[in-house]
Amino acid sequence: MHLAFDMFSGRPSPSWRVPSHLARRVFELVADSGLLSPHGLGPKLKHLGYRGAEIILPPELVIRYRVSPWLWLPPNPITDLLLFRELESIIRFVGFLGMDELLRILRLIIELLQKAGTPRTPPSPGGGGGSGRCPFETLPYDPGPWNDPAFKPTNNCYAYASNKRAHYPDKPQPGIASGAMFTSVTAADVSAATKRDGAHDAGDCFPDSEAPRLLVALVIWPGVDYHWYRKHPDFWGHKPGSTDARNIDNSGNVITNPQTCDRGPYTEFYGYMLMPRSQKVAA
Amino acid sequence: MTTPRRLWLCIVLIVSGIHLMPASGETLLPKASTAVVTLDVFSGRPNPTWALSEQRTAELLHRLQALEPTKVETPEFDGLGYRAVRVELQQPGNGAAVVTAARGLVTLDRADERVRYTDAGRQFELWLVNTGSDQLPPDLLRYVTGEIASKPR
Repeated sequence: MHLAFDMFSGRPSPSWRVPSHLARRVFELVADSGLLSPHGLGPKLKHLGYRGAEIILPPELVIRYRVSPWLWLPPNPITDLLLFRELESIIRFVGFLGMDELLRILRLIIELLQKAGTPRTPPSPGGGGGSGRCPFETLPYDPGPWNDPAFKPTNNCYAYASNKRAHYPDKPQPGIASGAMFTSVTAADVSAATKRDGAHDAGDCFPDSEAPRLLVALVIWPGVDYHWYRKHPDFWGHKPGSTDARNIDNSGNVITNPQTCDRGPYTEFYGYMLMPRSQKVAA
Repeated sequence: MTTPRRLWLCIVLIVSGIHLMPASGETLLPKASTAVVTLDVFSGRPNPTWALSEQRTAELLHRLQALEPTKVETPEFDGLGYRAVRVELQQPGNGAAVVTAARGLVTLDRADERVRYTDAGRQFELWLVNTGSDQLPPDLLRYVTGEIASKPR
């Protein structure tokens, strides 16, 4: 496998020959991130900074998975940060000669993506028509019904985010209502299961008939658990597991930005999503 | 016998189905109760739970008995991450008792009664968490025990 990153202006693009024992894992990671779909294989960009990755697959993978030998992955604001973090962990775990330089470049790209931060910005309320901005509605903050002892134990963050309060037999989980729960606690898997239940990434708008379209944020305790926040008119609310619904973070501060608030071990910020009125939620 | 001790013995008798073994002295051991531990740590996913063996249940009761009653209350932590470890003791026909350990306090709830005990160094809490060491993912166990060790009160 040949792997190259298009990112420099004067110098040649850094590239590596990835050994076969690692190539299949890299390919599977790219496939799991949904980057083999047609919209993931876009044209090359010309701006400065990170512009995309090129992968030339070895014949055994081309034959086995029946894919094109040449893959071009343009910058993807939703998946890149997760993809490169996971790629970094895989390379650190597997290891090969020359991996130090690859890890250095990956960390540089991660830093560039974090600085760019554009996909993490929530759309403005009621604003439609702007690029990547969708209309959404906020409901008044009303924790009382959520903290009713008849509902509190099994109505978790997912129920709160989607505003689907019910007598669940257990905590509802993304994907159960649509027939397939997430299988690993990664942002890619949990967000995909949530989309199967009806949600979209912010920027992929819903029609007015789906109002209230709720703006929510997904965060991950990597490999362990997930958590959701929901936007209210002046701040964000959430419900950690079976505890009370509240609008403060782990430091006791009112949450004005779920990306920067104190989230304890939920260190990974996936981004913003929209949950429509028809969002299905089940335990 | 002090009032808290009387109350405790009463609860043990009701909840745990005690039988006395006079041959080896007055050894109090639970016979048929079930004890299920819940680690209150997750937000989205169901919390991890595991059952205590009869031997571990007996040890739990002995450890509980050794704690000093207190009237002190500390505010619960109910944010994101590890919050508490809880064990529900059940005896068919005799109701349930719930023991919660968090932040240096152990609380025993049964019916309308609540008794609090001081958990010096959070040793009772740590022991209870570690009864799940075979069931919990190592990273999670390390995180929870680390949280307890880093905040002894």
